[in-house]
Amino acid sequence: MIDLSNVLKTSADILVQAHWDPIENTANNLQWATEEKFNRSKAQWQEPVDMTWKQWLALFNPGPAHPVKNYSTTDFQVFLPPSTVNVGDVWDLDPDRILPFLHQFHPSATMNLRSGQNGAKACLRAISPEYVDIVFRIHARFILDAAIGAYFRPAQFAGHLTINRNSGTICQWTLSLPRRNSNVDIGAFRTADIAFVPRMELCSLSEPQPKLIAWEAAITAEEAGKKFESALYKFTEIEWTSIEDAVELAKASNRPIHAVLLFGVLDDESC
Amino acid sequence: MRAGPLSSPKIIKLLNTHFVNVWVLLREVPELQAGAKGADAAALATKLRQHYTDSVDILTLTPDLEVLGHLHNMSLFHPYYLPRSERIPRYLKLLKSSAGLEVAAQKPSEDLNEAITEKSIADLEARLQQHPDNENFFLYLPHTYSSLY
Repeated sequence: MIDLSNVLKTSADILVQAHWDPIENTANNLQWATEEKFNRSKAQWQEPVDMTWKQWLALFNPGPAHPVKNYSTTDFQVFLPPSTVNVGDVWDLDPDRILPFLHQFHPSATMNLRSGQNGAKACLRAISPEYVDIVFRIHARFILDAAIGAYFRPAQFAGHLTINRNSGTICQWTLSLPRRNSNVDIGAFRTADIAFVPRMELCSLSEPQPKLIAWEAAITAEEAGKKFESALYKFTEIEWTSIEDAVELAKASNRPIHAVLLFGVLDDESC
Repeated sequence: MRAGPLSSPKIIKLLNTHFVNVWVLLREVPELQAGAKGADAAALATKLRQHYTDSVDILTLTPDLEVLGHLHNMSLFHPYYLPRSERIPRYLKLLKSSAGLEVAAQKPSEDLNEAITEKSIADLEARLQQHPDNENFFLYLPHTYSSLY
């Protein structure tokens, strides 16, 4: 067991750069509805809508509120474990202390997902005498226009924090939307869609991380990802089979197949 | 759905005991149908695509890919079509009939916690429909909400 509560020893400033690409494609064309359809949605909405067609086109692609923002090293203590941990241990993150990072994207960030799985978890992925690597997964939502119920819900934000234990400084910190088609749930006027945003990321402009670190103990990023899924989603207790093995297994075990076909992936918040 | 029927302990137990479970991304179906993962996967993907109606679709099939049951998003999951409290029983009914199990009436006493949770979720849903932008509702949820919703 290791105590990491004092591993960040400085209060040095950390510059964080934000990227937020426009939506590249959507499943149901909500964002690129015609002007006529937009006007019809407006007319049918429960209250008068003060939004132009031009504003609608820009609604889901606001770009980062702060392309560059300054943080103190102490702000990153939110990612440290609250008590002693071993490699592979998972702990909860405090949403109130995570939100300031998400506000760099947009001031409307919230971690209350309404119909999704609330959560922010971190895991000690690797440790060496000189470095420690913490990975995390965060679920959040952005309310782009409350009047028409317009929201933007990333599949997840995944990231990591690498700390130099000798100097007590941050080597690297990133928080990003996985680059996978489809990775965002969007909606407005009570209509939902699944979209692909190629890049949505926060990354520190701190000292470069060494290319090769001789970890003393480590799990892979994939193993950490599985731990997050188990901690966040009870449905992962279901024994899922890959589609290439399903029919053969059903015949061999004489069991029926239960198949779910869906337009967004099951194990994140994009659907 | 991931936080609704598929997180119900009863449904998880039933699925793990009596079914071979698979989930497929709609976007990958054309590639699967073209044989990217073999003939069996192509046949299953084709069957799923033939019955697909909306964002989330559930099919139960025999090992020879005869359809046993079908639930689609608009009938099961859309909040304005079926109350959340009725989704788990509906899903259970589909699974039990597909697996040839007896579909028994649910005894309230044996599912008290699940029923209380489902009712609180249904109440919240009703309030949200009346006031869709009131975030304060989330501050007063029972503890079970965050793990089951």
